[in-house]
Amino acid sequence: MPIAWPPLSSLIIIPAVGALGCCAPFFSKKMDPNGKLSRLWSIGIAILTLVVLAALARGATIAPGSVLALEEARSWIPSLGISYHLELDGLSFAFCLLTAIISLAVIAWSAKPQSAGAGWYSLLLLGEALVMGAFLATDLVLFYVFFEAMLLPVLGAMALWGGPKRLNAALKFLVYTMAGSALMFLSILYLGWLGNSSAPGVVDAFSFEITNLASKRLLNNSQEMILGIAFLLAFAIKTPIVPFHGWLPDTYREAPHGVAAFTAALLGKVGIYAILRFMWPLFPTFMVEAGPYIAALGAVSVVFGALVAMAQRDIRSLLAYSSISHLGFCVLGLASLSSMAMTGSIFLAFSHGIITAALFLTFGMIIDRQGVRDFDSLGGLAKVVPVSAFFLMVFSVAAVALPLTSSFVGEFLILMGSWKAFPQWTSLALIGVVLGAVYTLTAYLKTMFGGMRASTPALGRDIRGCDAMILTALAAIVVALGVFPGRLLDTISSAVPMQAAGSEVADNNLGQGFVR
Amino acid sequence: MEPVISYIGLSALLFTIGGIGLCLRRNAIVLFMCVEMMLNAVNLAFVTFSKLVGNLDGQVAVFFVMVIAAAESAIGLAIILSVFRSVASIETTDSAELKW
Amino acid sequence: MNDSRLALVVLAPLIGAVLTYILGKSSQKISGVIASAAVIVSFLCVGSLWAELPTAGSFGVTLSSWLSFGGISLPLELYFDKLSAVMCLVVTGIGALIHIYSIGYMAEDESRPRFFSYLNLFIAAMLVLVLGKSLPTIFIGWEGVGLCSYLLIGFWYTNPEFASAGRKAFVMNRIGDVGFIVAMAVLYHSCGSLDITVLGKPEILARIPAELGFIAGIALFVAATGKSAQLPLFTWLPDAMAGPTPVSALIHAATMVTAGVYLMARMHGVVELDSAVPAVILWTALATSAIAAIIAMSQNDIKKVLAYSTVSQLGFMFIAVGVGAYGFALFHVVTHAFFKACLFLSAGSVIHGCHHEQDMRRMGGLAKSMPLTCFAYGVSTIAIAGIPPFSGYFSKHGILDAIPLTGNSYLQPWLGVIGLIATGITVLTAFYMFRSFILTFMGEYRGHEHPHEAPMVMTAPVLMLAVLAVVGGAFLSPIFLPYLTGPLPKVAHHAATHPGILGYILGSLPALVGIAAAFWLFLISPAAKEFFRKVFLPVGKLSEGKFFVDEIYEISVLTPLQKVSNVSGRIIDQSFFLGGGEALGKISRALGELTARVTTGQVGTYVLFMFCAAALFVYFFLPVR
Repeated sequence: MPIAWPPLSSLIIIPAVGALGCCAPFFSKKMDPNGKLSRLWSIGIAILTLVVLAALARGATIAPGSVLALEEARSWIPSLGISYHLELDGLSFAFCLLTAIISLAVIAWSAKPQSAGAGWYSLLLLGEALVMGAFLATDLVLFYVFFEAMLLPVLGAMALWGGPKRLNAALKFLVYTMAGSALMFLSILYLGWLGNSSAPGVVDAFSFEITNLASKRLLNNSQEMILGIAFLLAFAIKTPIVPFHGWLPDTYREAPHGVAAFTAALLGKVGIYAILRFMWPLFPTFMVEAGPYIAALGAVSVVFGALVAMAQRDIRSLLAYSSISHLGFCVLGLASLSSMAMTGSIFLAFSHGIITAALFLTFGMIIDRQGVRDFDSLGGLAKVVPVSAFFLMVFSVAAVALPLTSSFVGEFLILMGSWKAFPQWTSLALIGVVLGAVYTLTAYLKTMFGGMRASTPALGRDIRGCDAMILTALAAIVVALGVFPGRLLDTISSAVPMQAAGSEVADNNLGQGFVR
Repeated sequence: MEPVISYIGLSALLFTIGGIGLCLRRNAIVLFMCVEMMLNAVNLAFVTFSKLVGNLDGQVAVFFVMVIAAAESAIGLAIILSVFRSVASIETTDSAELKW
Repeated sequence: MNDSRLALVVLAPLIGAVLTYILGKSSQKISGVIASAAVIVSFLCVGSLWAELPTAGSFGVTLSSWLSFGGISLPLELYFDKLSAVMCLVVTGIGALIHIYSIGYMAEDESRPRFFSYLNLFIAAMLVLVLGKSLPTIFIGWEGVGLCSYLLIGFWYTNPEFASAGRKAFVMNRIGDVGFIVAMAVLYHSCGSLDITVLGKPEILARIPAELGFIAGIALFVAATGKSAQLPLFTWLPDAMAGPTPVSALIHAATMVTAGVYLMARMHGVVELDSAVPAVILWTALATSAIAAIIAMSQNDIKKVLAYSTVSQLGFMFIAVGVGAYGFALFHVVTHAFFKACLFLSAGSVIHGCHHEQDMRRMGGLAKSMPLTCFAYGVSTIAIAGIPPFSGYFSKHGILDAIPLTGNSYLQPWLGVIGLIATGITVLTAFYMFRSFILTFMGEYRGHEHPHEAPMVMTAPVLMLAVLAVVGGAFLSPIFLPYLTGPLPKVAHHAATHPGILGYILGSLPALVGIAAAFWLFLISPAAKEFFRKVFLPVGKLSEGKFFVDEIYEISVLTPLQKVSNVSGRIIDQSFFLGGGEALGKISRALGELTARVTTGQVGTYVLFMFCAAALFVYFFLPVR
């Protein structure tokens, strides 16, 4: 694997330095009272990160037929075999790209909590750095560090600028995720210990490197099952999958809109990413054997999330549960032993990140401007805020996975791919396709259509300027990926077969007929 | 061997008295004195064993203990004084804000 | 043969849609012109391609590699053969006329640019639907027309009922779409391809296992029931009349709703894999057609009559599909597009002329004030009733004649019943259509407005359609079926096209009965009407209540779904999943509070613990023995 230049660390370091820079004196309240300077600085940093990522990927794939695979390895704590090992392959790239785009969008979004100054941007940039790290790390301990640390900026921003019940929500979020990841950490330690004990007396044999651990095939089936369940729990909570989603509604309701967008778009995706990146290579037997159960969890999440979303009155709760529903598709695809469905899962995760962030930001702005957050007191806003209405229509349509939007590509590949392995769970998930249309259109109907409510204050400021540009860009991404998904699909799928190699399943033999 | 037993016995007795005092009393000064008593019991044991074994290591340790005890009483009394200033009492039950 | 004109066919209306939307309010005046021009360009491209079709055989163009990656190849390709040619000509031709008509109809609406943008987008999506070379490409159009239908039904969105009607249409179509996806999944895993040219080959279809063949066929039909408003998913179509009338004409009569028929014809190989599937299709279609015809008899809203009539006629097309007469199904699609578009546009002119009055009870005698419209509506009514030489006769009687020729063993014992019901539907069709004609145009005017004839820009397209409705059938009848025998299976149809004078008279007998009844009851003898109303009271109630299908759905689907949703949200989620998490938190907090009691804040207690710990430590670890 070629060593990258600039080093992959720059993807982490640039936003981290940017975050530190926000603490510089000339961004203080006195020198920069409206936070304009710090906003410009942060936008610059976020753009730089995006450019570096694009340059890295472009540089690595410029030669025809080359596959994106860059790495950077340094020793970190050699006595324990913990290394600082980053890798950028197609899988990581998709998520890093998502991180860079969403961070830029959230940072540049003009609406932020009222009292927030440079600290807001600092936390967001820090979040970007840490999420980026989680998507790049291939050493389990390093991954774990990022996996935990990325909670901090989110929790910080929530506690500082969230809604009335923010502390409760933040605590819940923290405890839920910690509960899962504590088990995962134990499992990581056990894995390292197993690797070491195979060569007694040699301390250097400690290794938490994923390829290293996977190639050693340390585990017997029951060990795989126990460790696999521990890992799965951590990622199921993070994603989240029903019934491990207890933290989600409160978090999305109480967090500031930008943070909710950031969390929904990125943090959950770490779970999806990690299932493919770590669980398939480490526990291939477990993943195949538990596949039906994981797929069932995914399908149940799809339907249950949709059903609960239908019952919501609060816009942001609806978005929260719709996230569960959409990510259920991803989980279904990941479990389905088909590289087509797996690629689709990653693609859908990418697409969902963009769409859900856009919906959170736009609805967030409407909630702030109108001062109410449930549909029943909104209505007829299409007349008042036509631009918002247009963008919401685009993203709602994308959320229900209409063809030529990016979600369709993901959902279609998942449904096609997983039908072969799990027709029953795929059929169940198909109910979610219908219900998805119901709650999405109902949300749109109740807010945008109909007559104006007497209770609607109608402050009447529509989206404009920078925000309109952001939404246009996100919409363009959604449509462009819907019409020309080929490049991204190729990039993702170049990494997927390697991840799923353990299962030795490829759907090239499609002409063989329907095999259960 | 008899004298050793009595020295050690006295040391143990002093240590126990100090310990029980530490457990039962509330007055900070008294607690302080109990600690001193326990330290001195240990010192006695050190000297006794030093004599018994026949090298000076134990007696050297005693000097360390005495020096540290002196430093401790200086700091400890200062703490008690400042606690008294803020709570107007040196009963330990009266300054229990740090408990859950 | 590769031809970029094919791309232009789709791109022209797409560009028109984008252009009119972006220009927005600044293009109030010209938006209609831009949109119409875009469709006309598209029509001309289709025409030129169609002219070269006999020499070229077929045209194709690849727009995007789309879902192709790794070893999977699902490009976004268009494919133009005789079957798509017929559909394209209908879509762009009638589409263009309706666009022109809309310039007049929407002249007073401020949101015209949005309207024309959606309308153009619809044409583009519909063309993708009929031109798609693979099922996913067709699915793009399939969902695209659904979206446009949703947007246009809810075009006047400030009325919440209209907006809800749009949502209902979208959701019901979505149920059908699930069938489409299932069919694609089954076909993909069995045949390894979703290309319609590949799926047309018998040796490829032979790979589908028997039990999956049934699933694939039924799934496709489910998709068609959604889009083409068949039982059990037809209730959205009458509600869809909330949209502007040109929309009803274009989308909910002439083009989009026939997409299901097109899909059946295109995928006839799959539909016929298991002969139970055509049987299911036939019975469903028969029931739909009969029920819709009965409901249409009692509707008072002129658009609702036409809507139920559309459902009924779509049922007729599916009857043809069920008996394997795909050619006649498509022929009926074409003639139906002529006369139903004309009927809707005439109805639109009436509504326009009566100042947005849709209730026929407040019309009547409009023949005097709107002679041109009356003429168009009249000839179309005759056409739909099935009187030769008007167009409807040829397609309808083609279907009726094809019923006994079916080779389907499930249907053969029932041919008499099927033929009887189908003929009965023909009688009803003639009856309710003439009822609407009489109520609207004959007798005395019962409203309070001053009805006036529509402007030229509206009457011209209507009259063109009227001409097509009159002569289209007779003209196409001899050439249509032979033309389509390439893409469609050859049907053994007897010489129905030249039955002789006696045949024509016999063939038009059912329609004449219906017409006579309508005149008798609604014009000549109101007393008889009262009498029949009493005699057929139960049927009348069913008809007026629209067979209570909406109510049945309300009780059997919507309310339970709402309950399930509420139970999931309020009870299962809140108290079980969220509450469970909270409970775990509370338990650990209680445990914490319990253990916290150890820290008394008393130095003595701590010292005691310390001593005990030290003693234990000494006891266990110091090697003093």
